[in-house]
Amino acid sequence: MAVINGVPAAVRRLARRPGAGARTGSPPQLRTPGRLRHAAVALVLCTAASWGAISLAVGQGQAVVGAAGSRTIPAVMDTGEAAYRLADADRVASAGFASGAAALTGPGRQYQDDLKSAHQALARVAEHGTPGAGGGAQLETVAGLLVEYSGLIAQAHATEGSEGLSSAYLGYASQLMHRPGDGILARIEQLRAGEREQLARQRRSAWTAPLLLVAVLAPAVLGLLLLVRTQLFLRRHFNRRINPCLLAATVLLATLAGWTATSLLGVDSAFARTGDREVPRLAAAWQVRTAVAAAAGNDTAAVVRGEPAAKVAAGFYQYSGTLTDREITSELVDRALTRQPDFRGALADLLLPDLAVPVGPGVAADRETALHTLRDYRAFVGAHNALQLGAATGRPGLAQAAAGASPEQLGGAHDALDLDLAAITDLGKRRLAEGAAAARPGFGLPVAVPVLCAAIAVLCGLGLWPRIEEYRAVTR
Amino acid sequence: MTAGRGPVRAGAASALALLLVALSVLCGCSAGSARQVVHVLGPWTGAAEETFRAVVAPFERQTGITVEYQGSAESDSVLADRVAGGAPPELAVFDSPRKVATYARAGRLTALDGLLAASDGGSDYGPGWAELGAVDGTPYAVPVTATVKSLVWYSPRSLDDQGRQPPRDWARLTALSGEAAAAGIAPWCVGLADGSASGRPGTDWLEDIVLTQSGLEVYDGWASGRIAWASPQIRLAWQTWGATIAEDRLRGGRRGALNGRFGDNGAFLLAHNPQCLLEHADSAAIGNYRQYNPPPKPGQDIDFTRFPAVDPRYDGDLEVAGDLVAMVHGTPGARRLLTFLTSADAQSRWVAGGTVLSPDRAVPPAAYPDELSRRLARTLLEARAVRFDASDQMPQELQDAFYRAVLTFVDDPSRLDELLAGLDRIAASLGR
Repeated sequence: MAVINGVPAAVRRLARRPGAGARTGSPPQLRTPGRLRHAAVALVLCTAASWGAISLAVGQGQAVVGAAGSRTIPAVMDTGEAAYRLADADRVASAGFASGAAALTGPGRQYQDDLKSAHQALARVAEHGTPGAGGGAQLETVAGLLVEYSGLIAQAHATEGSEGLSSAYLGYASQLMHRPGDGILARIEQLRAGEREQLARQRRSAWTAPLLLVAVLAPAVLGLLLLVRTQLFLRRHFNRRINPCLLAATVLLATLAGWTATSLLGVDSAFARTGDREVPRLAAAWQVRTAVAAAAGNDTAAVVRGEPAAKVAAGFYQYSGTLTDREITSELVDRALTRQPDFRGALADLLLPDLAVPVGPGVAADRETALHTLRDYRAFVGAHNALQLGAATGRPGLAQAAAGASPEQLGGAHDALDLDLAAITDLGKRRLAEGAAAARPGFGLPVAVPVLCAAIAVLCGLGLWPRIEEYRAVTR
Repeated sequence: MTAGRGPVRAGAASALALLLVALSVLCGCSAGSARQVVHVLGPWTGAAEETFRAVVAPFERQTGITVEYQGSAESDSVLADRVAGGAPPELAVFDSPRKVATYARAGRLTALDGLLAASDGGSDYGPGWAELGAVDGTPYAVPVTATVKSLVWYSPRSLDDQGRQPPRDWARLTALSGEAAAAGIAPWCVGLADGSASGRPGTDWLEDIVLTQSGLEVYDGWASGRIAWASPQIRLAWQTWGATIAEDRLRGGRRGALNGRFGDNGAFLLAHNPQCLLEHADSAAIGNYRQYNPPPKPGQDIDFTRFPAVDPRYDGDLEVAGDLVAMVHGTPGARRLLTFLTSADAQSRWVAGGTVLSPDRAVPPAAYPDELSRRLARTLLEARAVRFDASDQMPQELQDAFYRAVLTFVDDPSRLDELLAGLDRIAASLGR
């Protein structure tokens, strides 16, 4: 096909005004049958180009969105879940020593369930394949460190009779879990950062960019212009008001272009909603749960080790400091009942979208859960403050206050808050699943493209062939 | 005909362009596949990894060989997985001769006959170093970094303020400890917490005491399993250590030592109002101290002395450690890299970072970044005899038990007999 400046020669010839060739000294003007043949060829070419461009864009878009939906997003979520389960396992291990249950039950069922869930989540991350050369090695390292962690917890239980030694082993295990930079949770966070970077790359992919539409629809638009021009040409030369076949082809091509635009823009919009809103919110839910478990675990371990009040406070805020930038007062909670409360941090990122929604049918439950979470977070910090005060004043029964299950004790306050956060996590999972389903391109368009394009080509042929034959008959 | 030439020409031009693009892609691919890659697996991460990458950068430029390094704190288990999975790296870094021996005896390593001799950089390893990587007389690994274990760090400023002298012999060390404790200042900062290797810092103490109290022969016999844990010499070493780290001699007491994190002691040693006067740590500790703000001035805020010999007859013997590189999957590129790593040029680049020393005497003192590092290097190279960390020579199970025994001993020194008997039982079960 001869192409000059991106325009097929057949199209250029058809578009040339009568007599223009004579004035510019270019080859003599084509006669009507020649122009009709060129029009037919140009229309078929435009249709074929539309077929190719739309199929390519839809196929590649499907590949990018499919990879994000089936691999990257689950990996982001699985790393988040693994981190939470491990932080909770560490909390539960300390709570067992604080309550005295460790002597009877060992690490306990909850600890084992947490570790099992964490291993399963990490196995899923490995199954999805981690991005970059370092991801696999990081996973291998985490797996090795988890074995060591379990060994240290086992050692803490083995030395349970010796208070100093068992609490020391508990501390070594916690250190291994929480050490900044190269601890287990820090390494999982690095994995998660890699996955989120991969998701951002997928979001930036040219195959899901709205601008791609310009290139994808260019052949279809050119085809539509050509169809209109051909229709006008036939009207001038054959005294026909309308060519039904070309009209039908025009309608089909316009439908195809519209369908493509709607589908690609819809996928992009849903992908943006999923990648920019639902994934960060669910990731924030795991992050908040991890921080809350780590903060509670820190307090409990500090009590077991008999650490001073200042150290209890420093450790707690090391983990909870990212959750809110200010104290959650009763005034702030009251304000949340009527309007959006003013605070920042990971907890705010998680709760404010639901608290910002005005009260109304369908959203009340989500709003109520967010409010409940805010109240329970306040109670959780209150339980910590009471524990810290107890440590400062040497109050007896600190271990019970740390591990106890009543609402004013740290264990109970943590469990209530975690229950709220679990509900938010489930809500986030549901929203993410809906968003991911919407972002998945439908199978209708890929199937319809070849059918519609073939129909358009046939209709163009049917519309122009009788006119060409008329000239042939006259010539004979 | 004229009208048909355009499309024909355009088609031919397009075909030619496509052919050229395809050829260039193919050329690119074949050029990429021809580039040699040497995979290295090691325990260095963070600053140590950056140092290694800087060391091998000139090698990559000069040879065109790409070095792909994978650093992991769990490099031992990663290596085991890789070997079992049939995809081992060409080179692996080991932190103990025992691990080299395990892989060599399993037939997993390629012998390095003549490699140190073939080093074109004129390397000159000190006595005992070249033999560290040998298994049953065959060289399988070469040491590329070294650390001195037998050191006591102190702050000259703090000692001056209290009118005390650095403890250069055992008598002065015990005197200083006793006087400081009597004055209400804990002489020692000890941190035994080190993740799964918790207790390891205590084993370094014990090894130094065995080495300088009973000599090389006992040390070698104990490390290799010929001398029992419950023998008088080893028992004496534990008792000597127990007296040195009595409750009032430790910052935070025994519990503080158990819960204190190894590597965090600089904050207490270097503080304006120091909470301890001395720390037993290896030469790599200087890297930790340098991280404090403001960084301590070598010779004024931080300095070291060799761990004083308990028995003056053994003064000058030094406990050391280091990293050894072995060839797991032999290729010409891997051998070239290994030769390069043991060259004086590469070793000079390595020590410039100031956290590791070189066992190579050909490395000029000027390669070290400061006077303190140069003194550390001199301490290493001028030692009368060097011995590798004993716990690193023991089987893994015994090494782990040794670490745990240290923790139990610090928690309750009265359990010494029980601990030594337990260690002997484990050693016996391992055929030692």
